[in-house]
This record gives sequence, structure tokens and C-alpha cells, in this order.
Amino acid sequence: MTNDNKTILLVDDDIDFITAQKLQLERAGFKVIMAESQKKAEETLMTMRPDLAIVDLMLEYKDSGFALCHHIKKKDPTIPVILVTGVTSDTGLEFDAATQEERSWVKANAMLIKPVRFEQLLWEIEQLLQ
Amino acid sequence: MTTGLTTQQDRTRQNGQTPFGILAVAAHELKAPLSAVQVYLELMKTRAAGDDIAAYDHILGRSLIRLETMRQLILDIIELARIEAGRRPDFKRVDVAMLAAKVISDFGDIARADDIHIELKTSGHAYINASIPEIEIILNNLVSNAIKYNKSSGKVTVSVRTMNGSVIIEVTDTGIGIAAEDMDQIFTEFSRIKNDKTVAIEGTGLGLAIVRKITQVYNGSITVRSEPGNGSTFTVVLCC
Repeated sequence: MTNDNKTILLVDDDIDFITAQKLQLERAGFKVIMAESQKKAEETLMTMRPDLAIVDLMLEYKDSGFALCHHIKKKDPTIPVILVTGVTSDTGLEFDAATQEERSWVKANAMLIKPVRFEQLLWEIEQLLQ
Repeated sequence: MTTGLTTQQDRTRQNGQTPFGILAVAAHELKAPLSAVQVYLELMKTRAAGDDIAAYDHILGRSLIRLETMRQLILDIIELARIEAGRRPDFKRVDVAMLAAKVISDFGDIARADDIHIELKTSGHAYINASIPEIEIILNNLVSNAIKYNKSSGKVTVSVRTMNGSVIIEVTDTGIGIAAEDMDQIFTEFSRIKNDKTVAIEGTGLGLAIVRKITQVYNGSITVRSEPGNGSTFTVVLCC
């Protein structure tokens, strides 16, 4: 498939994570718009509609990612959202977006655990954009 | 939105720190910089930026910054473990005012890079029976934060004085300040304030926790006054 003209909103406060992902996504043919906070992402969403959003869980607050997922889905339920997090069972947090029930409250179509392999991210993106 | 999301950090705060808890959080804190460096090296290996030399320079620069964060994190964890284990270095008669002058001199280049002026105010010698490395850690961590969280062309004032047999260190900056709701968490291990003003500032989240633990060893205290946008003042009292 061609990724030309598909725009991805990439939201993460780890500037190295988004810099690296942006470089790789652009190489794969996507147009990438970066935001380093929930606030900046919501401002960006006022002026554009991404084809897909990749959202980190912990931004300004530890649940900013959840709030942003809700915001995106409320604005346009057809935008696929991938929630990315490094906060998992090793830090005492357990949740997933693997089942319909989990996705219904997480408001994300998929969830990936950091460190994210780019090949895995690309596969998820292409599945969700089909 | 409230999700009731709790992490190991919250639980260790509620239940008291456990060795497993701090190990798990430390491992988690190392994961992000390690992954960043790994991905950057992979990007370089595959020449992901084509012929864009500036992009590779940026990748190398950021990799070095993240490696330094990891190195500092490991040193901080070792220091924290030493204090928690009750291992105490030798005590000597230390002039805290003279040590403050040395620390300020050490930070000279870093401060000048951001056009930050550091001033030392003392009323003569300020002696205490203490471990030089521990007092240096207190001064280093407070001055380092005062520079990192300052504004460009800002000011840092380090004041050292004695009062009723105690030594009082005060570090004031003209930086971004701390919101009232964040005050509780700044001395907690691995806790960092996350907002658009701090997003690009590197840190281990252990510096102030270590300062607090050392002051407790000296039967002292650490307090902070701050106003968002107008800077902060950290006051350490060390009992002689």
C-alpha cells in the first residue's frame, strides 16, 4: 500500500522517541505532525484531522494519554488511535487494549509497549489504515 | 478525566519503599534512555537520514545526552543505596561556605552557556562536622537544578550562613518555579514534574530525594518556597 498523503499525529513528551519515530515514518512515506503534550495535541486537532494518531500514555499527567484518546474519539470516532506506553506491569500497572471491552474504555484501537520496534508499529499502522 | 491509574511509584509512596519497588522503578527509568540510544544507533546504521549530516549530528548529540542521564541515574541509585544502608563516610570539619564557592566555580561553564549569573552570599566561614562528599552532593544537586530550571539570562543566589549552631544553605533561582500541587512530589524518588516547560530538561528524578535523605542524616531539614514563573528557593538546615 502507499502511505503517501496519510498524516500521522505523533504525541509523546520523549523528544528522542518522537524524533526517531518521525524519521522512520517519513521514510515509510507518511506525513508526520508532532506534539509534545496533550495540550499541544488538542490545539493541533483544532486545525487538522490526522489519518491516525499515536499517543503516549504519560504526558503532562500520568493519564493524559487516556484523556487524549477520549478527546480524539469524541472529535472523530473514525480516527484510529495507537496508545504507546512504557508504564506496564514492571511498574505496577496492568491494562491492555486487546479485547473489545478494554478498547471500549481505553478508547484506543491498539496498545504497544515501549520500547516499540518500528516494524511492529508500521504493521499496526497499516492494519488500522486498511 | 480520572482513571484511578496507580503506578509502582504511588504504591511505594503509600506502602513505604521496598527494595523490589525501587529496583523496578529504576529499571523502568533506564529503559527509556536505553531505547532512545538503541534506536538512534539503528537509524545511523541504516543511514536513515540519507545524506543529512546535520540529522546525524543531532542523533549523536542526543545519544550522548541520554547516555549521560543513564550514567547519572546509576550514580544516584548507588548514592541512595549507600545512604539507605547507613554507610557513612568519614566526618571532618568542613567550611560549607568554601565548599559552596568551589561548587559554584565547577558550574561556571554550564551557567555561562545559558547566560546565568551565580552569586555567593556568605557571612564568613560556616563550619560543620560532616562528610565533604555529602555536602558537595547537596550543593551540586541544588545548584544544578537552579541552573537547569532557570530562564535564560537568569540568576542563582547561593547563601551560606550559620545560626544557633546550624549551617543554613539557601539556593534561590529566577526560574520556572513549582506549582503548589507539585510541591508534595518533588522530594519523592523518581518523581519529575512534567509540563511543557520541563519536557526538554534531562534529570534522574533522584536529586532532591538524595538531598532530603542526606539532610535527614544530619538531623536537618529541607524546605522550598516557590511561585510558578518567578523561581524557587530551597533552604537546607544542617545541624552541627
